[in-house]
Amino acid sequence: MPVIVVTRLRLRDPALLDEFFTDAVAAIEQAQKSEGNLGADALADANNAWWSVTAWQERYLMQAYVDSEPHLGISARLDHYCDEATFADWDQASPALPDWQTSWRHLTADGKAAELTHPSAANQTRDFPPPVQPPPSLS
Amino acid sequence: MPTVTVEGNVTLQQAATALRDRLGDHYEVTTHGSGAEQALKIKQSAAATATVHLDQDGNATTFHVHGGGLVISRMVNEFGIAKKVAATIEEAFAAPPTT
Repeated sequence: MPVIVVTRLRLRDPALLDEFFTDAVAAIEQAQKSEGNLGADALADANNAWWSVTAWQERYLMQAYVDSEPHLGISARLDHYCDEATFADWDQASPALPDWQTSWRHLTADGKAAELTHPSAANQTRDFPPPVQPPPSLS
Repeated sequence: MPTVTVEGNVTLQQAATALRDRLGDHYEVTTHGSGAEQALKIKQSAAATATVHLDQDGNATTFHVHGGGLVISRMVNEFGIAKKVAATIEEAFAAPPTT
Protein backbone atom coordinates (compact mmCIF):
# COMPACT_ATOMS: atom_id res chain seq x y z
CA MET A 1 0.00 0.00 0.00
CA PRO A 2 1.39 3.46 -0.84
CA VAL A 3 2.95 5.49 1.97
CA ILE A 4 2.53 9.26 2.17
CA VAL A 5 5.10 11.42 3.97
CA VAL A 6 4.49 15.06 4.82
CA THR A 7 7.01 17.45 6.32
CA ARG A 8 6.57 21.01 7.52
CA LEU A 9 9.70 23.03 8.22
CA ARG A 10 9.73 26.62 9.42
CA LEU A 11 12.88 28.68 9.17
CA ARG A 12 13.95 30.17 12.49
CA ASP A 13 15.49 33.10 10.59
CA PRO A 14 14.49 34.36 7.12
CA ALA A 15 18.19 34.98 6.44
CA LEU A 16 18.64 31.20 6.25
CA LEU A 17 16.45 30.97 3.16
CA ASP A 18 19.28 30.95 0.61
CA GLU A 19 21.07 27.93 2.04
CA PHE A 20 17.84 26.16 3.02
CA PHE A 21 16.44 26.61 -0.46
CA THR A 22 19.43 24.86 -2.06
CA ASP A 23 18.99 21.89 0.27
CA ALA A 24 15.22 21.80 -0.23
CA VAL A 25 15.52 21.63 -4.01
CA ALA A 26 18.18 18.93 -3.72
CA ALA A 27 15.97 16.82 -1.44
CA ILE A 28 12.93 17.13 -3.70
CA GLU A 29 14.95 16.30 -6.81
CA GLN A 30 16.46 13.29 -5.03
CA ALA A 31 12.99 12.08 -4.05
CA GLN A 32 11.71 12.42 -7.61
CA LYS A 33 14.59 10.26 -8.87
CA SER A 34 14.49 7.66 -6.09
CA GLU A 35 13.26 4.12 -6.58
CA GLY A 36 9.68 3.69 -5.47
CA ASN A 37 8.76 7.36 -5.53
CA LEU A 38 5.23 7.95 -6.78
CA GLY A 39 5.23 11.72 -6.58
CA ALA A 40 6.68 14.71 -4.78
CA ASP A 41 5.59 18.28 -4.25
CA ALA A 42 6.51 21.31 -2.17
CA LEU A 43 4.68 24.39 -0.97
CA ALA A 44 6.10 27.65 0.27
CA ASP A 45 3.71 28.70 3.03
CA ALA A 46 3.40 31.99 4.89
CA ASN A 47 5.71 32.81 7.81
CA ASN A 48 8.75 31.09 6.33
CA ALA A 49 7.19 27.63 6.51
CA TRP A 50 7.87 25.09 3.77
CA TRP A 51 5.88 21.94 3.20
CA SER A 52 6.78 18.83 1.26
CA VAL A 53 4.76 15.75 0.45
CA THR A 54 5.97 12.53 -1.15
CA ALA A 55 4.28 9.23 -2.03
CA TRP A 56 6.12 5.90 -1.99
CA GLN A 57 5.34 2.41 -3.25
CA GLU A 58 6.67 0.79 -0.07
CA ARG A 59 7.86 2.01 3.32
CA TYR A 60 11.32 0.44 2.94
CA LEU A 61 11.88 2.38 -0.30
CA MET A 62 10.97 5.62 1.46
CA GLN A 63 13.42 4.72 4.26
CA ALA A 64 16.17 4.06 1.71
CA TYR A 65 15.67 7.59 0.40
CA VAL A 66 15.73 9.06 3.91
CA ASP A 67 18.97 7.23 4.70
CA SER A 68 20.84 8.27 1.53
CA GLU A 69 22.61 11.45 0.56
CA PRO A 70 21.86 14.25 0.08
CA HIS A 71 18.75 13.78 2.26
CA LEU A 72 20.74 12.27 5.12
CA GLY A 73 23.07 15.25 5.39
CA ILE A 74 20.26 17.75 4.93
CA SER A 75 18.23 16.24 7.77
CA ALA A 76 21.25 16.73 10.04
CA ARG A 77 21.02 20.47 9.33
CA LEU A 78 17.36 20.85 10.33
CA ASP A 79 18.38 22.04 13.79
CA HIS A 80 20.39 24.79 12.14
CA TYR A 81 17.51 25.84 9.89
CA CYS A 82 14.33 25.38 11.86
CA ASP A 83 12.35 26.37 14.91
CA GLU A 84 9.54 24.06 13.79
CA ALA A 85 10.12 20.69 12.09
CA THR A 86 7.29 18.18 11.99
CA PHE A 87 6.69 14.98 10.05
CA ALA A 88 3.75 12.68 9.46
CA ASP A 89 3.31 9.53 7.43
CA TRP A 90 0.38 7.28 6.72
CA ASP A 91 -0.69 4.48 4.42
CA GLN A 92 -3.38 5.17 1.88
CA ALA A 93 -5.00 3.15 -0.86
CA SER A 94 -4.40 5.71 -3.58
CA PRO A 95 -0.90 6.56 -4.83
CA ALA A 96 -1.99 10.15 -5.52
CA LEU A 97 -0.49 12.94 -3.46
CA PRO A 98 -2.95 14.37 -0.93
CA ASP A 99 -3.89 18.03 -1.14
CA TRP A 100 -2.23 20.46 1.27
CA GLN A 101 -5.21 20.80 3.58
CA THR A 102 -5.36 17.00 4.01
CA SER A 103 -1.63 17.01 4.68
CA TRP A 104 -2.11 19.72 7.29
CA ARG A 105 -4.85 17.70 9.04
CA HIS A 106 -2.62 14.62 9.25
CA LEU A 107 0.35 16.63 10.41
CA THR A 108 -1.47 18.50 13.16
CA ALA A 109 -3.28 15.35 14.33
CA ASP A 110 -0.49 12.77 14.22
CA GLY A 111 2.77 14.50 13.37
CA LYS A 112 6.03 13.94 15.18
CA ALA A 113 8.18 16.91 16.09
CA ALA A 114 11.93 16.98 15.71
CA GLU A 115 14.05 17.78 18.74
CA LEU A 116 15.36 21.28 18.07
CA THR A 117 17.74 23.56 19.94
CA HIS A 118 15.53 26.61 19.41
CA PRO A 119 11.96 25.29 19.05
CA SER A 120 8.94 27.55 18.91
CA ALA A 121 6.09 26.88 21.33
CA ALA A 122 4.09 25.33 18.50
CA ASN A 123 6.77 22.78 17.61
CA GLN A 124 5.52 20.34 20.23
CA THR A 125 1.82 21.25 20.21
CA ARG A 126 1.60 21.25 16.38
CA ASP A 127 -0.69 24.26 16.59
CA PHE A 128 0.07 25.27 13.03
CA PRO A 129 -2.21 27.34 10.80
CA PRO A 130 -3.48 25.71 7.63
CA PRO A 131 -1.18 26.34 4.68
CA VAL A 132 -1.94 29.36 2.53
CA GLN A 133 -2.45 28.34 -1.09
CA PRO A 134 -3.24 30.20 -4.29
CA PRO A 135 -6.95 30.18 -5.22
CA PRO A 136 -8.05 27.13 -7.25
CA SER A 137 -8.40 29.32 -10.35
CA LEU A 138 -4.61 29.60 -10.42
CA SER A 139 -3.48 26.31 -8.86
CA MET B 1 5.85 32.42 -0.04
CA PRO B 2 6.42 36.14 0.23
CA THR B 3 3.66 37.94 2.12
CA VAL B 4 3.21 41.69 2.22
CA THR B 5 0.82 43.54 4.54
CA VAL B 6 0.02 47.18 3.90
CA GLU B 7 -2.28 49.67 5.55
CA GLY B 8 -5.69 50.33 4.05
CA ASN B 9 -7.93 48.36 1.75
CA VAL B 10 -6.22 47.80 -1.57
CA THR B 11 -8.26 46.20 -4.33
CA LEU B 12 -6.97 43.60 -6.72
CA GLN B 13 -7.44 46.05 -9.59
CA GLN B 14 -5.33 48.66 -7.80
CA ALA B 15 -2.65 46.02 -7.27
CA ALA B 16 -2.80 45.01 -10.94
CA THR B 17 -2.41 48.61 -12.06
CA ALA B 18 0.51 49.21 -9.72
CA LEU B 19 2.27 46.05 -10.89
CA ARG B 20 1.77 46.92 -14.57
CA ASP B 21 3.11 50.43 -14.01
CA ARG B 22 6.14 49.38 -12.02
CA LEU B 23 7.13 46.09 -13.64
CA GLY B 24 6.89 47.37 -17.20
CA ASP B 25 6.23 45.67 -20.49
CA HIS B 26 8.35 42.59 -19.81
CA TYR B 27 5.72 41.34 -17.38
CA GLU B 28 2.14 40.39 -18.22
CA VAL B 29 -0.37 40.98 -15.40
CA THR B 30 -3.79 39.33 -15.75
CA THR B 31 -6.81 38.84 -13.48
CA HIS B 32 -8.32 35.39 -12.89
CA GLY B 33 -11.31 34.02 -10.99
CA SER B 34 -13.98 36.04 -9.28
CA GLY B 35 -15.09 37.16 -5.84
CA ALA B 36 -13.02 35.82 -2.97
CA GLU B 37 -11.19 33.54 -5.39
CA GLN B 38 -9.99 36.40 -7.57
CA ALA B 39 -6.26 36.56 -8.07
CA LEU B 40 -3.56 38.02 -10.29
CA LYS B 41 -1.16 36.12 -12.45
CA ILE B 42 2.15 37.73 -13.32
CA LYS B 43 4.10 36.24 -16.18
CA GLN B 44 7.62 37.16 -17.19
CA SER B 45 8.16 34.12 -19.42
CA ALA B 46 6.61 30.70 -19.89
CA ALA B 47 8.60 29.41 -16.92
CA ALA B 48 8.65 32.48 -14.69
CA THR B 49 5.20 33.10 -13.24
CA ALA B 50 3.72 34.16 -9.93
CA THR B 51 0.25 34.55 -8.50
CA VAL B 52 -1.10 37.09 -6.05
CA HIS B 53 -4.20 36.85 -3.91
CA LEU B 54 -5.13 39.10 -1.06
CA ASP B 55 -6.90 39.12 2.28
CA GLN B 56 -8.67 42.18 3.59
CA ASP B 57 -8.54 42.42 7.35
CA GLY B 58 -10.04 45.55 8.84
CA ASN B 59 -7.87 48.39 7.68
CA ALA B 60 -5.04 46.29 6.28
CA THR B 61 -4.49 44.27 3.14
CA THR B 62 -2.28 41.19 3.04
CA PHE B 63 -0.90 40.07 -0.31
CA HIS B 64 0.09 36.42 -0.67
CA VAL B 65 2.52 35.93 -3.53
CA HIS B 66 3.14 32.38 -4.78
CA GLY B 67 5.59 31.17 -7.35
CA GLY B 68 3.91 29.49 -10.30
CA GLY B 69 4.73 26.25 -12.08
CA LEU B 70 5.28 22.69 -11.00
CA VAL B 71 7.35 21.50 -8.03
CA ILE B 72 10.97 22.56 -8.67
CA SER B 73 10.13 25.39 -11.06
CA ARG B 74 7.58 26.62 -8.53
CA MET B 75 10.22 26.57 -5.80
CA VAL B 76 12.58 28.52 -8.05
CA ASN B 77 9.83 31.03 -8.79
CA GLU B 78 9.16 31.46 -5.07
CA PHE B 79 12.76 32.53 -4.86
CA GLY B 80 12.77 34.74 -7.96
CA ILE B 81 9.73 36.36 -9.52
CA ALA B 82 7.55 36.01 -6.41
CA LYS B 83 10.06 37.97 -4.34
CA LYS B 84 10.26 40.65 -7.03
CA VAL B 85 6.47 40.94 -7.21
CA ALA B 86 6.21 41.15 -3.41
CA ALA B 87 8.87 43.84 -3.28
CA THR B 88 7.06 45.79 -6.00
CA ILE B 89 3.76 45.61 -4.09
CA GLU B 90 5.47 46.73 -0.91
CA GLU B 91 7.10 49.63 -2.71
CA ALA B 92 3.83 50.65 -4.38
CA PHE B 93 1.64 50.62 -1.30
CA ALA B 94 4.02 51.33 1.54
CA ALA B 95 2.84 54.12 3.78
CA PRO B 96 4.71 57.37 3.12
CA PRO B 97 7.30 58.11 5.78
CA THR B 98 6.13 60.40 8.54
CA THR B 99 8.38 63.12 9.84
